[in-house]
Formats: sequence, structure tokens, C-alpha cells
Amino acid sequence: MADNVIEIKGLKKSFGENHVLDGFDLNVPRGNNVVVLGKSGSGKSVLIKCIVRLLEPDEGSITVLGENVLEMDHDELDRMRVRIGFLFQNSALYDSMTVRENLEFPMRRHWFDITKEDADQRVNEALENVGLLYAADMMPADLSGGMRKRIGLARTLILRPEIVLYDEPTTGLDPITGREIVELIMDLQQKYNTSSVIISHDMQVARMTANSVVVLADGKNHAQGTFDQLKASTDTQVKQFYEGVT
Amino acid sequence: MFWRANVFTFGSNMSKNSAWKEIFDEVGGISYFTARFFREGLRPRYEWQELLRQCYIIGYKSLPLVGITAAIMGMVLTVQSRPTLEEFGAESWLPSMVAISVVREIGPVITALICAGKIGSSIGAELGSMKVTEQIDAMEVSGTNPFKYLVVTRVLAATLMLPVLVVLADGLALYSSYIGVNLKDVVSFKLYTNQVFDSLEYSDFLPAFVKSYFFGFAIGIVGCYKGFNSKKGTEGVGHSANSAVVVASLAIFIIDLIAVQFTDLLGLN
Repeated sequence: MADNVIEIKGLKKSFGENHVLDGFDLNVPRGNNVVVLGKSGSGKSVLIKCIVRLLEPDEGSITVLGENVLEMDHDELDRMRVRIGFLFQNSALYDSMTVRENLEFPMRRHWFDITKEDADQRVNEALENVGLLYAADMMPADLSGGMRKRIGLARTLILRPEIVLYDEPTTGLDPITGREIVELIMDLQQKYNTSSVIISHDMQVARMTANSVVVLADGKNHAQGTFDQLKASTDTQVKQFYEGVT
Repeated sequence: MFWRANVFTFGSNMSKNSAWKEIFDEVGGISYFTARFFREGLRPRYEWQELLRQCYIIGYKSLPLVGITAAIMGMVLTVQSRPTLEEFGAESWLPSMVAISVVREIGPVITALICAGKIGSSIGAELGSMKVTEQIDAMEVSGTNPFKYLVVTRVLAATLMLPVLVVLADGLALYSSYIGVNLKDVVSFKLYTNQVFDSLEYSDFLPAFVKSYFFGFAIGIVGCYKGFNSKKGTEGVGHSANSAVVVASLAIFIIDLIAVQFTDLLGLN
């Protein structure tokens, strides 16, 4: 049996009469990148928010790193969340803090005995990783979209998570910057040996990063396979993504 | 016509019911939020650095506005009261009257209302914008407790800083009242302060000081509640800021009313 870092079974989540997830299943093997494709409003972001319990699912089970996330109390959940990184669509940088403070913020709350030298060294390393050491003292409002994404990525990885959840990592970026972000994600994944779930509707992201692609449609895992397997699929909903056919 | 009257009555009952439901929802929500404040606030670890930063923002940065308002308030009260007191030949009571009015009621309430506008709206807008830009979610998923970091510190800072602002506002109002008195008379500062302190007792100062803690708490908790529960979008942020001011102002008057009844019961009036 494969060593899965995430196992989701029969996940259901509704908002009123809108059944966003309706029995969704997913396994993420260790070290793999799973890209979840789906139309806007299909429940992709809801899925990863359920994994870290930003949203409470209605039914189903979510096991992360061998532990049932839905049965955890608040403290256990916080400990688990340190092992899961989450890159938000709009980076969600704390806009009252400088870039350096943004990166120090999670460290100071989990590694209480970290010295100033160690913290500075980690922040500098994280900023070097994303090529933005010079931006350490800038405010988020002074950064471009691509820079914000890079800083968001640096902040996500600073606690060395074992799993990273990416919510639309290239949305709102031009194709060149989007490609740079994807390459950065791949480099850092290899460097820190993380597993990831990447939510996207960008086929370039899927092609470049995916070990496995999942098509989320009608709240279910509609199709799953490698990028090339799904490319050869005759299924209408899968073809919509690959060929833009409606 | 009968059916029409019944339909209108039914419609009006429906809207009354939904208004009541909204009020009860709001009261229930704020009560639950307050209970959570005490639960999270008592649990270590404490965010001392952020608390100090919030005390600086809420206390120090509100000083100019509170100070100017207090000075104008003291001056206006003095100048406007003088003709009436003169009619009764009681202008020598002016310092005492202003002191008791300012210390017991006007100082704390006006300062609290000014702070509800400045601090309440600022907290509501800041947390509301953090909510809609997913910054609060980002804290949550990094395993940090955003309630402890954002809410507990702001509510505590507002609770601790408001009495300080009230004392400073009282002082400034009385000083500007001294200037107001000297616009038409010549009264030495020593005589003026003697009259002020002779007229004041602990029972004037203490209840006013204690209730200003409650005012600060109400401003902080309402601002945080509105911001933390902001709906999506910029319109939601504006609504959070606006309703934080409205609800906090209303809460200040209700607390004031309760405080008056309470001090009356204790025989402090």
C-alpha cells in the first residue's frame, strides 16, 4: 500500500442547497504533487480549506499524515497545521507587517526558544530561496503581484511543512511570472521534499507540476490520472480542460 | 378591506419578527464572542508585544483627538453656563459645576463616544479587511490563534487605555474651563483648582473611572466582533466599521444608564 500523506473519503460540504463537495475521494502519496482541476465555483478551494479545517466538512473523513483531522481538538489541530503549509490565492500577507515580520510571525509562535540570529538566518534563507532578500524591509503594499506570491511561498515554507496546499498559485499573474512561480514551487519542493495539493485551472501548472491530475466536477473526483492519461481521455468534462471545448 | 388589513398586519409582524431576530442574533453573537475573549485571554501564551503596540495605537494615537475635544468641551461648557449662573448670582460656582459635570458624566461619556468613532471604526475596518483578504485565515492555518493575537490584545488595550484617556480628557477640559473662566473674570489658577478639588469627592471620581473601563471593553469587543465577522467584499468592511461605531455608541449609553442606577443603589450619587 502506498504511503499516503493525505487520504480523503466521501467528503461532503454544502452551503445551503449548494452541494459543493458531494462524496469526494482523494489520496496524495508522499512526495507527489496532485493537481486538482475544476471550474470556478466547483469547490476546489473548499476542498483544501476542509483539509486544514478552515471549513468544517458535513460528512466524510480526512486523514493527514496518519491522523484523523476531523477528530482533533484545537491544540492538536494547531500542531498539525504547522506540518501543513498553505499558500493563499492572494498570498494573504499581513499588511501591517514588513516582509521580514511576515516571515518571523509563524516562527515566533511555534519556536519559542529560537534566537534572533537563528530567526534572521532562516528568514534570509527563505528570502534567498525566492530571490527577494532585498525586499526584507518592504511593506506588502509596495510589492508586485509576483513578489507577493514569492513572499507568500517563503512564509508558507519557513516552518518546513511536510505537505503544502497551493490555492491557485498562478492566478492573477502574467504567463511569464506564472511560469517562474511554478518553477520556484518545483525547486523548493525538491529542496524540502514536500508533498503537495495544487488547486488550479491553469493547464501549464498541471503540465509542469503534476504527478497526478484530478478533475473535480459535480462535487466528486470525476477523473484521475497522469497529465498525459487525462489528455487522451474522451470524457467531455475532462476534454473541456484540455481543449477548452465547452 | 379586511384581507388587506390582515396582510399588512402579517407583513409588519414578519418584519418586526425579523428585526427582533436580528437583534437577538447580534446580542447572542456578541455574548458568545465575549465569553470566548475571557476563555482565550486567560490561556497562556500571552501576546505582550502586540498588547503594548495596541496600547500605543489606541491610547497614544488617540490623544490629539481626545485632547482637542476635551479642551473645546470644557471651554464651551464654561462659557455657556456662565450667563445662567450669573442670573442667579452664582458665577462663583462655575468651577465646581463644570468640575462635577466633566468628571462625573461628560468627560467619560464624550471621550468614550469619540473613541467609539475612532478606535471602534478602526478596529472594525482593520479586522474586516484582514478577514476578507484571508489574513485571518492565514494566521489560523499557520497554527497561530488569531483570536488571541488580534482580538484579546485589542480589547485589552481598549479596556486599559480608555480610563487613561478619560483622566487626561478630564484634566484638559478643566484646564480649558479655567481659561474660559478667565475670559471674563480674573481667577488665579490656585483658586480655581482649590474650588474644583473642594467640590469633588471620591464618589464623583471613582464610579466614572470604573465605568470607563467598561466603555473601553465595549468599544474593543464590538469593534473586534464586527471586524471578525465581516462579510466578503469591501462593502462588508465598510459595514463592519460603520456598525462597530453605531453598536459601540449604543452600548456606551446602555452601560452609562446601568452605571447610574448602580451608583444610585450604592448611594454614591
